[in-house]
Amino acid sequence: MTCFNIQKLLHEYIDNELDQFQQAEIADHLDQCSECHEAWVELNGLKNLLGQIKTQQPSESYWEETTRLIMAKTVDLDENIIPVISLHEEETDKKTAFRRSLLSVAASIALLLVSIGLNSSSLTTKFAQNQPEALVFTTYELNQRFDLKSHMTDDQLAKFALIDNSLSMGFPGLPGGLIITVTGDDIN
Amino acid sequence: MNNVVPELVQKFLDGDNRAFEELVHRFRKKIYSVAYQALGNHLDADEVVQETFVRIYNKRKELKDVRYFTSFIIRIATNYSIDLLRKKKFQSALPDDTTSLPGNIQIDLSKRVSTPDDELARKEIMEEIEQALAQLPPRQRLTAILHDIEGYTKAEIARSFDCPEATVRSNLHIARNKLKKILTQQQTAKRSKK
Repeated sequence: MTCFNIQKLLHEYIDNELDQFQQAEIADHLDQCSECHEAWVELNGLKNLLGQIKTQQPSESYWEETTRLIMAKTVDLDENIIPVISLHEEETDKKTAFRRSLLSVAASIALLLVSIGLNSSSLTTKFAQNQPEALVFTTYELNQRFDLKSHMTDDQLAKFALIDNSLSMGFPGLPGGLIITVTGDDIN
Repeated sequence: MNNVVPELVQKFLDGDNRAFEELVHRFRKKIYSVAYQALGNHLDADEVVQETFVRIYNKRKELKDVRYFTSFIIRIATNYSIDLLRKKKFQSALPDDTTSLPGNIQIDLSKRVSTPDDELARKEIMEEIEQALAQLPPRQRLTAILHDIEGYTKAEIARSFDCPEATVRSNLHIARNKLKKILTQQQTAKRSKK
């Protein structure tokens, strides 16, 4: 092997990654070639020095506190978490019953909308066209989608929000207003 | 608990929280050490330790093979360390060209450490090396730290970085060559001051 090839393999040599034959060949060369020997001394010295670096570890009290914090952010958090009802899971587990309740809620809203003068047929048409799959909406979202404000007086909006909030009380743990899920099929 | 790591990991995955705590005990100092070497200060190393275990806990379902937990945890710790390094703009401004090493200027590192009585000189060298490490780009720095300081194998590092071993080898060689170059420059600067 030439000096160029030897020096290319020096990293593998100091890491003992070459086969026995190559290791021996390079060792012999290093005995005879001062330039390659010098390169090996530098590289090996650097690796040895890096291996001597030791991180000064913090005190045991630090580790106790840190471990406590880690457990508080993980295991303890999991064990103390307040269960939040997932509507999606609710629907999966009790699909039929839930759909029935949704239909009744949707019907109530439709009735409400009719009673307050909003054209409920245009509402259902928009649902079916734009969101054939499950819809999730709140008073706020309804307002965003259908611009309820332009169709309802402030009193009517207040009534709507009141019903919205009262319905949500049947689902403890859900934050904010009731989230109602309906599907295109439900509406149609 | 005297279980080996894969057994502990399996228990942890099965929902045994005591096994998780035991894993924290076993790996916390290793993670701290890697993070401290990479980031150079206690506060950042502390952040890496805590965040690594929180992520391990939250991402435990992503661990497909309990035998590779070490690589899994090192990956999370190094990725977070790299994120911190990039945020703090610790990245080196060192030119990529490593072929222009001043060949006639050399330092004989092995001779310098052959004087164990001279603790001050040794401490100076260690500080120089740590400063030199800090100048490497994150991935090269972490490769050198994991392999040459912490003693992880190239296969473990490759799994941690999700790259071929050849890439680890290449990064390691480049890192060592750059370290030699930086140390040589530091040495030259010192000599010219005298």
